[in-house]
Amino acid sequence: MLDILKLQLKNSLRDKIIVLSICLPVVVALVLKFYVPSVIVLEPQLAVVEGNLAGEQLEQLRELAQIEQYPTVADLKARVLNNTDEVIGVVYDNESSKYNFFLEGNETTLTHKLTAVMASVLSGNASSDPAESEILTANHDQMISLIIAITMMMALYLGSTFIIFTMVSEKEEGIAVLNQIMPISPTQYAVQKIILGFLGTVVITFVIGFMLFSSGKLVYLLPFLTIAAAYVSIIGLVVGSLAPDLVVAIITTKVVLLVLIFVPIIAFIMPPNLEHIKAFFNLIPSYPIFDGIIAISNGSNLTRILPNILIMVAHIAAGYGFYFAVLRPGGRFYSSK
Amino acid sequence: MIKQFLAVLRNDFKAVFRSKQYLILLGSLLLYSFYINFIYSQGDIPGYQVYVYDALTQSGSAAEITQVNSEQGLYDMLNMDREAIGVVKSKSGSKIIYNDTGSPRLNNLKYYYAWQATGRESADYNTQILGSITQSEQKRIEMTSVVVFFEITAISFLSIAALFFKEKQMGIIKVYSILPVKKSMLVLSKIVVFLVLKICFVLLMGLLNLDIAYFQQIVLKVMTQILVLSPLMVLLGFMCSLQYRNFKQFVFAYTVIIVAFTSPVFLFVNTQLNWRGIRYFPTYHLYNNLRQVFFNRATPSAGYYLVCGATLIILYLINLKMINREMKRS
Repeated sequence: MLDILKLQLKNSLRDKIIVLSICLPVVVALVLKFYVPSVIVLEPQLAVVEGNLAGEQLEQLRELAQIEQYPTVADLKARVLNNTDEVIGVVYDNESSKYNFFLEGNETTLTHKLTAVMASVLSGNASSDPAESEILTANHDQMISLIIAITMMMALYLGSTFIIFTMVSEKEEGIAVLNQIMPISPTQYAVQKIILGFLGTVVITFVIGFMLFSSGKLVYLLPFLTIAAAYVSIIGLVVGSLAPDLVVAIITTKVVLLVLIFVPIIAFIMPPNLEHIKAFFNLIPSYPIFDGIIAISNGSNLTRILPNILIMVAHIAAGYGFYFAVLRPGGRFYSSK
Repeated sequence: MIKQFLAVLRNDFKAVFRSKQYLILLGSLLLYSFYINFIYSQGDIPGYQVYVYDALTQSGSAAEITQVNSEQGLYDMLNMDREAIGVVKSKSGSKIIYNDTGSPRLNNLKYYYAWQATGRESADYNTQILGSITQSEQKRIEMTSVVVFFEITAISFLSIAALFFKEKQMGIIKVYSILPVKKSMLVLSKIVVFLVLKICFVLLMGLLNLDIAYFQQIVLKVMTQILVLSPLMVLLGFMCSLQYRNFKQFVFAYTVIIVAFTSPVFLFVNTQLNWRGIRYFPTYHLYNNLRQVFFNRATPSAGYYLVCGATLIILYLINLKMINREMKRS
């Protein structure tokens, strides 16, 4: 076993480009560790016309939103129409003595409601009848968690791609035919194929974990990542067994990339009113991994990530069963040249 | 000359159809359209949910307010729905409770939001809508532009490499190197094949996901951008596949390109996040111009086309040189 591992390691290290790309997630993690602010929050943005609002009201608004000043109303309108963000324009109309809010028309309901709140504050309604307030400390680094999780997914994706391409290039070189004749059991064969990819993935994700997570979270994170690495290794094994040649492997890699990196992001940015649909994402490999990493990064406990672990184990069992039933060397769907 | 080119072209089309790439393209098209129509365009963000525990009266109130039975119940709800706001009313006055958002401004807004939602009269103000695009339309156009750009940059790149490595494997490159075919034709025919595929893709995307009348207004401008983008990516993909010895190397290099150059662009162009450095990404300018055209805004300047044209010519010449080298080698 150790000999095989040594041989495979030697073979892979020879390819400098692959070594470099596998280190990419670690580089991203390093950049994240030193250059990203601890919190990314999107605050509401307001555009006002210089000299239109009284100084006192401007101060009030500054406590609620980021303020940009523009020389004329026309400039302000042009800014509002820039549609990559939701800037709202505020102009006080002296004739009707009312505040005019300029919207683009594609704002969310929340933005409309916040506009009404700001209007109330501006009109001085809010200063009467004040209430006490209590701010609960909460983890609010949603964006940071997302970026960390994507970095992890990238490392996992590279791990499974590594296995797929090792298997397919063996098929191309004709070694796969040898494997069919050699007296090894399907399980031994599977372990031989995935062991290097699995260990590599574990090492890379652990390194990223040590860099980006606080030590308290590592207790949950490290076992979780080990299962996740086994999981992507099984994905690699199944795809690698299914693909007869490089061209098919490329196309499936595209699908694996989409599934591993983009599907979870879609689930993440889904509006909260579609919560029930998220359950279906658990059918897709990768969502339980992604969700678990986000949960651990938010400081959740074992009960929160336990369902994710169970779903992953179920996926691993199903994937391995599928491999054992039809994909093993000599099996019905094992394709080689 | 033309006859020769047509023969090469026919061969490339056949190769694309044989490798079932058009099926993948159609499959992704349906998946993207399903996502845009049924999920992404529906994504409004509703207002904050307000939970009230009233120790004095248990009266019902407005729709966005939910009454809870105990103070502890209110804290539990806040722990589940992090965005929600809680209000406790008691003899000594009312208290507004919410999770820290990380921004003092958002915290203040939440405070006033709850304050107003619990029965205060709202102020009298006017709103004026400046744009002509509704939220759902905005989301459709936005996601369509993202998908088109992703498909053309990321996927063209992979497809061309798949085609090229297949040809290399089948020995077609060797055959071409002895035939009296102009090398430029090999490159040009690849460009034409992928241009045709991508134009079909963009047309179908537009028809399935955008308002037909609106799509008619922008279709020509969008096509102009595709005419620039698609050849650029095909030439780049061709160059990379000539550069790398095998596909394994190519795929790993490809991942770097996708992760480093495409994903950040989507993040910074489509959200409120701002980062000046994004302007140094060539992909930023390509995507931003495509997006502007999809939203029927200012068309790119002559300078942009000039730079793109120059890049195209340089890439084309590099490709010719590399293909010659590759043929000599084989």
